[in-house]
Amino acid sequence: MSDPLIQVDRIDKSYTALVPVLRQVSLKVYPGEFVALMGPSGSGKSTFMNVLGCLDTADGGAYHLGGEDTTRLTKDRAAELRNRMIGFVFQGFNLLQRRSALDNVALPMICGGLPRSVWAPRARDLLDQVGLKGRYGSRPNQLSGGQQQRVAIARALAMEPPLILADEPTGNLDSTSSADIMRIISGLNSIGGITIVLVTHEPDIAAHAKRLVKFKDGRIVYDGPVQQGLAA
Amino acid sequence: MSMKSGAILTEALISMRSTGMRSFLTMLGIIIGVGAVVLMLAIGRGVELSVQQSISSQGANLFIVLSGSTTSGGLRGGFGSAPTLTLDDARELAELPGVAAVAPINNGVAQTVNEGQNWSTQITGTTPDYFRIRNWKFASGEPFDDVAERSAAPVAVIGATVATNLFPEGEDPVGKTIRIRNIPFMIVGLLANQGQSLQGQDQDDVIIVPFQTAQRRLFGSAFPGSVRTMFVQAATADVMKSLEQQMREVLRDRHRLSEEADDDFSIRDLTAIAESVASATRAISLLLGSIAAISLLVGGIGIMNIMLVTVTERTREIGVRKAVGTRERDIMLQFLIEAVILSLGGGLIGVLIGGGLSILVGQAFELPTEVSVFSVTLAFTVAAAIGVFFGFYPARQAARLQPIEALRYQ
Ligand SMILES: Nc1ncnc2c1ncn2[C@@H]1O[C@H](COP(=O)(O)OP(=O)(O)OP(=O)(O)O)[C@@H](O)[C@H]1O
Ligand SMILES: [Mg+2]
Repeated sequence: MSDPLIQVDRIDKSYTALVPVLRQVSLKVYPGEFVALMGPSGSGKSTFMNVLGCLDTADGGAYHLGGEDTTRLTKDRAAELRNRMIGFVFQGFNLLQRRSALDNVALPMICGGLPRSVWAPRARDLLDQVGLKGRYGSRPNQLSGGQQQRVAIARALAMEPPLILADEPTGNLDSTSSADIMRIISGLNSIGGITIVLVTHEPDIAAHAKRLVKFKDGRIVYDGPVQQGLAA
Repeated sequence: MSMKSGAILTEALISMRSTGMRSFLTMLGIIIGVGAVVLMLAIGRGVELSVQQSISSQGANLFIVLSGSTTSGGLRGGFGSAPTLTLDDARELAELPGVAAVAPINNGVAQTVNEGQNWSTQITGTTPDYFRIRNWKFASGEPFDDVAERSAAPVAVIGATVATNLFPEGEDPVGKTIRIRNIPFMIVGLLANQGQSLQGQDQDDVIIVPFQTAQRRLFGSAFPGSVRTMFVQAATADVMKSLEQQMREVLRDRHRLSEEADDDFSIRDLTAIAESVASATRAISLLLGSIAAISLLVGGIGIMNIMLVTVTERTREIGVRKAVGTRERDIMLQFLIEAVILSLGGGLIGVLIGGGLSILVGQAFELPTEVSVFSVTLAFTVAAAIGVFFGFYPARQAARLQPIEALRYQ
């Protein structure tokens, strides 16, 4: 087997001194995996995702992303890792409100220093891929929730990252839109070979994944095949 | 792998456009500040120039000696009411070491006529030295000479205002004849525009004739050889103080005034007056300038305020930008550029408005206002500096936001 893309070794995290949010969490995710994270509200899933995404750092333990130790990253290097290695899909879409779909998709490429001649056609391509052909100029407030989340997915794919982190990507969507989004995300994994870590509360969403990790009180209480885990 | 600078600029411009009205209002502070600085400097410069012009049209190192009050029957007239000075006084003063020239003057108001146009103006009778002392330039023709003076020739030099009132526009009056108190005078010279004197008189509304001509042909005199006023020019500025004392002694001596008697003349140092006016002018310019500078400062604080609001408002946007990998430096630059564009844009509009207003003010008040390269450069530099200075803190706030905090922000 190849080297793990994500390698977490006994990380701790607490916001206040008394209440630990993550306790001695360890996890390995290999390239091409599709992992669903589940667990009760407040069990530390989002906190864990933030650490995985280099948006936040753990208090103790070690986290290697693509072989690189992330515990002592400079801010610039962390920004670069987020830009190159990770695509984020958030529950609340997190699009720039006053900007077109195209601009939103282009954002990571502009940040990465790509010229317009590269990012403009690529952004259009990506919007086509998520089924938003012709909606390049639409602003988020002119799009439905499902469409906004598709823009967010296109943005996550912009820099062709090996890893996509999705924190409740269907949390704000109805079941039809959720199904559409999950079809796209599953395709990214099965066809594109992109590694995906996805947080959800819905068993049928988690069912798209190949592996299930369950959190409880900041600890991993299950790590194994999805069907078995969902049944438990 | 950082953002291209062109892309940062574009991002800054787009986000400013999306807050159009507010960006403009923020700029307004700088527009007013820069406009005020440019306008105030131009007005200050204009006032200084016009004072300088008055000073140079007045002549350098100049005393004016006014003939004083004689006591007649217990009534004292004002200075100049009864002539106590004489041509002999003038000659004696001219002999003093340190005196460059003396011009005796008698004047009065008279009606002048040219082909149906008539104009009442000040007639000054004086010697040819007068033109040299006062450093007056000629638009056309030349001053009358000593021969004309000695022979009491009916010749005249006229000022621009007189020319406009007696002659059709564009006509050169030199060589023409006008009538002063019905006596024909030939015009030998037309003075260039002098503008106002420091006392605010129109120095172009004047006709100058030889001293003897005025005395014998125009005004006559109960006391032949008496003089109302004398201009005395010192050779250098250094001797002014001692010369004033010497002139006083000579005149008191000649007028046989006893120890305790008051002067029957008065000596005024015009240069000293000019200097005090000039320094008052400088003080006013400085005051105007500082008020304008304060308004510029207030404009700068306005920028800082709006940028801080913008950072707070856009916290989530900053979070998104950070999540997709924008570096702190690039976020900082974007906000800094926004602040600098606001202030430079305001600076540009301010310079245009301030420049336009100074031209208008110059025309309305006949002031030689001047928008100098210096004041424009200053205004721009200060505006840019204000953008950087007051934009720096908000920009750093934006750059230092923690990505997760920013993303969580509602
Ligand atoms: N910035 C913060 N400051 C203090 N406490 C926090 C902060 N963020 C999260 N927590 C706490 O950490 C714990 C875990 O939060 P987290 O958001 O990771 O839970 P979660 O598993 O994602 O829950 P949910 O399913 O509701 O999204 C919670 O008790 C929460 O109150
Ligand atoms: Mg969560």
